[in-house]
Amino acid sequence: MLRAVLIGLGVTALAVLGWLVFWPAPTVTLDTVARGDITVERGDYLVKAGGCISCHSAEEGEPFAGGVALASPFGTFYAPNITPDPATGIGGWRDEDFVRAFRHGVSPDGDFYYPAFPYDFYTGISDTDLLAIKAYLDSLDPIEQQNRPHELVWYAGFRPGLRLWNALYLDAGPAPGDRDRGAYLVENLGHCAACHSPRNRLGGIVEDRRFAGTSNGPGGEAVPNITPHDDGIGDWSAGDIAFFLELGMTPAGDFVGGEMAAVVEDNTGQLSAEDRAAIADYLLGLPARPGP
Amino acid sequence: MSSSSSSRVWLTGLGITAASILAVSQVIAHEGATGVVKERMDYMKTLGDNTGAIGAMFKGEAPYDLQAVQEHAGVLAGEAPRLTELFPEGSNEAPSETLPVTWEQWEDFQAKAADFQAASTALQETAEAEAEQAEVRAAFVRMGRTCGGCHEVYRKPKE
Repeated sequence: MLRAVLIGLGVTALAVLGWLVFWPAPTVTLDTVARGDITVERGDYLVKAGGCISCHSAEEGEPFAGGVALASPFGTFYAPNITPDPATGIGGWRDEDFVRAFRHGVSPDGDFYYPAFPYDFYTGISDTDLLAIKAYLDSLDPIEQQNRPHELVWYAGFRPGLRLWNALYLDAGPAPGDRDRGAYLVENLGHCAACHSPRNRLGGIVEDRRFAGTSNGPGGEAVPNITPHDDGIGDWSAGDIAFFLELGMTPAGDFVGGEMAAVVEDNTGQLSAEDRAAIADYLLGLPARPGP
Repeated sequence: MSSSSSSRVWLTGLGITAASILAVSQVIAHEGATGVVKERMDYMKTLGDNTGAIGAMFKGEAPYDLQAVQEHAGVLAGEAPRLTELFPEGSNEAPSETLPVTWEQWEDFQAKAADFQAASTALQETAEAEAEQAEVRAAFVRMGRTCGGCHEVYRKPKE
């Protein structure tokens, strides 16, 4: 009897391992995408809304050539080169490769990405917008800069295990076409919750504390609550939020520092006034949550 | 007293009330500060009071008043040159929010302080030249970026 149970467990373990390692990664088809809206200008704007430059550019390095170190409980991730260099960047990527990376967190070679690349947010971006982002990145000067391998704790090194993470936390998109603009900017492109929420031991966002801030954000830094609670932005008006997103000034006349200063300068400060107002409205409509 | 001057008095009163509420909350954050740390926290609060007052006009919380912008910008431009003097090496006792890297990268810190000085002077000049409101706003945004640019690297993140 014991022997039968052990054999059963062994077979199950092998089956799970087989699924993790050998099951084909998801693919995408792009036959029905409207190509007329795919422009470099649109992509430029979306890249600003998406905050790509923040992680994909090292402080003293070329924009988008990668290199930023992201310290996490799973080790240090190094953001890759996303300039169109064919050898070290994304120069050789097909449209399907690019969309699949965002939609499913899978590389052109079929490897799973770590969610340090926030594909679990970007999955909601529409095909048209993703291809506009690709058009913009393809328009950049190719920079030859080899990617630095991640330095991870031993158990995080097994990439097929990310299939389990995706089963738990990835709600593959795209978002419905009629998604509210503020929701699209905050939840998908801007991926605000990636830093403004606590994460559990598996690196998944703690959903009932989403946007409520964390004392242990990227690099171990505290990240504030951005829900309309007294612990967060409960006493901010929509105008206060929009103004903050434009130039980083809080209602008290203080100017934000840290990572958010760069986000304001490179990302939210570059958006249209309408988009900043849409973000403000969306944040004020979030459930008020205490914390961190 | 005309109705416009009485509304001005009323708004001023409102401004003073708001400023004193702000002052109380700032005092709490700065409690226990002494010496040059206290001096620079008070200094930063002065800057914040003036940027906050200009910002309130661009947010539509207060009526746009070019003369008031000129006055606040004058305070900012006048205070800017002494910023680095308030950061003598090693002056970092609690509740200081300065990161030690400030003194390791002193030249960059000085360059950022110079950016603030230039941008606050530009704001003052734009306001004194009675430029269009949009131009004054743009000059204010440019100055605000210099504040954030320095806080980004040299100030502890807020909880």
